[in-house]
Amino acid sequence: MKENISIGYFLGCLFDSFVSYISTSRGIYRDNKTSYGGKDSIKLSKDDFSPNEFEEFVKSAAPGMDLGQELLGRDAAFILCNVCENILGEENIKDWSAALELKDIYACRLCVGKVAQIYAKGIMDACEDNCFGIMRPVSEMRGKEAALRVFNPEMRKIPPKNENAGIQEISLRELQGLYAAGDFVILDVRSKEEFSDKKFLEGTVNFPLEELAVNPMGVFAFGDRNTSFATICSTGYRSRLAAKILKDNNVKSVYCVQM
Amino acid sequence: MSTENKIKTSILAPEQNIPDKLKFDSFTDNKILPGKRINKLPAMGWNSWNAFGSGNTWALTKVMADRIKELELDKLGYVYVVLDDGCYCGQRKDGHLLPDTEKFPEDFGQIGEYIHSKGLKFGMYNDIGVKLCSGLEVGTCGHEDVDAADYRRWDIDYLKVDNCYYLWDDATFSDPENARFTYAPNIKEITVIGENFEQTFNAVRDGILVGDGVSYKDDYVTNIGTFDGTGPARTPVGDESGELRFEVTVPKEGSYSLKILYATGRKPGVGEWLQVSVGTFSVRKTEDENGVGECRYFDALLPATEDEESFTMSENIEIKLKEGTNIVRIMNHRRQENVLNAYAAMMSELASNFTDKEVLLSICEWGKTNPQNWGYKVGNSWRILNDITFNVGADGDPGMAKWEGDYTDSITSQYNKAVIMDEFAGLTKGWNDPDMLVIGMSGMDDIQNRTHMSMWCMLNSPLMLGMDLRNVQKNDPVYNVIANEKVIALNQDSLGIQAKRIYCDLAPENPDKTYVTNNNRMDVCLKPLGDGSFALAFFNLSAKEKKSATVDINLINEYLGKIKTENKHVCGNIKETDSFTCENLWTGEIFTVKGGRFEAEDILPMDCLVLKVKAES
Repeated sequence: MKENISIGYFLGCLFDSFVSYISTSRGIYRDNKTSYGGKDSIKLSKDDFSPNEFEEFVKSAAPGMDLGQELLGRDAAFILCNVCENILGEENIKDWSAALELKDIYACRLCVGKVAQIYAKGIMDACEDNCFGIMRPVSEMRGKEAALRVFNPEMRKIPPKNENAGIQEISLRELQGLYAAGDFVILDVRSKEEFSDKKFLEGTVNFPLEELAVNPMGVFAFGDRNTSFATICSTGYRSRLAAKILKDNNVKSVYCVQM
Repeated sequence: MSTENKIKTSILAPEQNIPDKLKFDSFTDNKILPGKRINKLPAMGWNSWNAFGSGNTWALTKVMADRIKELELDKLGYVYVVLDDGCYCGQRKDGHLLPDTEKFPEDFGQIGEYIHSKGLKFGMYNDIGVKLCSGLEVGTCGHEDVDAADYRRWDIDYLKVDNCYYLWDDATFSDPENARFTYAPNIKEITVIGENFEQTFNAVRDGILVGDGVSYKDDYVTNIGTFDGTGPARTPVGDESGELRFEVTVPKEGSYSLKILYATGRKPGVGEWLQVSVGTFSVRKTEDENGVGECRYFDALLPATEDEESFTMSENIEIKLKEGTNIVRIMNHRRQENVLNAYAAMMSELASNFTDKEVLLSICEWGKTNPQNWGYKVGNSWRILNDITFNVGADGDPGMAKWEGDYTDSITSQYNKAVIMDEFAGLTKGWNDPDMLVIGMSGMDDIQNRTHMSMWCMLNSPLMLGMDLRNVQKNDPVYNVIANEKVIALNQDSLGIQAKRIYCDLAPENPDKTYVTNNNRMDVCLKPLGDGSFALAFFNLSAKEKKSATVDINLINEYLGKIKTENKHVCGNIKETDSFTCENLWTGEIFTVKGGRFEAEDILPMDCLVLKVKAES
């Protein structure tokens, strides 16, 4: 049973996790930048924060948060980022491309940076539908898990960076199966004339290779980088070039139809 | 202002009675609303967002105002100091906006006084929705009168108005189901019934599709509405708002009933809000040859159907038709009209409060509703896309920006759209706004900074610094970019003509209108200047390769002719002569070009060559 939790409850979870890890032999360390540009780590002590101080400190990241309110994904990201930055002294990850996997990564521009950090550092995973759930309530299980992971680097599940995987070649028949199964954009990259002469499949959209090469962003009118795209042409030559362009523009899953 | 003429907004429903002057067909009438200031050059100043995000405080802003004076940036034109999101208390009190007293212990009036005492101008921020982007529940929707009076009391000179949590749109920060307001239902057929007359028109067979987006699906027409322009996918040039039209020929003038076979949905492409107009004229005119205005007979939600392919016959809609052929238009332009109405409501209240001083309105709806079509009526500038960076800074953190990327958050994503939008900008209109400068943020080196600055100056973008000004010193590399007087002079040139792209190696046919997002290329932009000279900027967009390009005087003259047609006021008179004096505005080098061929050879990746060119007499 997934129960939603309040902001206050989540802060309580964080504090419990903080206290329990601090008492173990591994402890919790804070990274400090030294004046000559290096780094050293200070072991934090249980006495560094009382529950109230902890709460105040963490809340200071997001003024106006009401402890009684339901904890949304974005609130969790703000709070966890504040813990990382101000309690643990962690630096932000520069390459957060892993977070581009999240369908809702740009749904809240104030939170993009925070959500990206928390996801790329492996503190909170995506929901089942590949969304972070920026505006959705956080379940108790997910909140508790994050509270543990933030203070224990060994528990963090760092997602792989968003590197372009290969282009998958498939047959027209396989494509028909995939298309029927779900969210799929089929780009016919032949010329407008060829396309109006004959369509390979119902539901294909025409985006000639010459136009795609000049305006690759144009494909995002049909879907986003998480949409599966398949490219198709008469011989398989243009569609392969088109598939490469899609890959270069960070489209995650690209299929090229072998003719 | 009498209350009947007030432009209103409400949190209960989209405004039913949008004034004719704000409807789609008026977008091309070149009329502006009272209070909108014209003949203003692009605004220059500092805005808190990119530097400090919603962590901005008065202590920080005060230091920035002081730094502007110490660095003498005000003498170069940087005079507006704008408090962006994060300065208000989370709730209104007695209907009024209040400062977040932890960050802004002073009253906004006192803050304005301090900024004015420095000889600078004071800017603030709000939002047409119910909440600001930071989530604070103090948007202007329904509070325009109170807020405008407060803004007058605080003596502001500039207001940036955002578009988060807007209630009647389905894009970013809004409920996706709001697509019901922004798209018409799917349409299968219409029937026109009158005295001894009845005819059914099939949408696919008889319908005429107008504008981009609108399309056939199986046996019906869908996507009747305006696409969401927040992301970089779509070109800003052309008809972005689709309609389904029918030619209906009737034997005599009179009243007719219209029935529509429709199916509704709540997702992009299919909605519930329908507009029906009749007119024998084109969509982009408000009056026909007889002076009869366009008539809209229906403008409301239709009852929802079971799903988007369960077609239902509508109730009768009464329309008037003339003898002969009429054009019946099935459409939904609400995405643009509602948002314009919201900005107009704010502007009309500002106008009635700021009778004794001017206030500039900076529209920040992120290009979502194609503001290049209507922004000129109410605003001095309009953002063209979502933000240029999502990694804004904080006190002690410069934030981060990047050269290219697959969404809006890069220099080139913004530039690529803005560079073909010159037709929408001008002194009597306002300016395309590719967002605030990211100079001084991490990820930006000296070359990128200088090209970014050159682009924004050539494109007449507002120049809002977005960095912590404590991190810049006189004559350091960043200062030398933001304080290059000769480059700023391009932006602030008296003609107010945005540069036109006259050469693009990936778009040889129509470089000024073709939307190009592949950055492996070189662009050349041309900008006529008030002293009879012109600027030529060569931009190498590639992050990897050196590039070269050449343009000649014939090409330049061809485009100067085009610019003269598009801008009513006369621009510089460039003679065809053999010899031109060129000044490189970044190095100061002066040289002569003979034979009218302007060459840029081996421009470094992401670098630029910006020349001011004068014909020798």
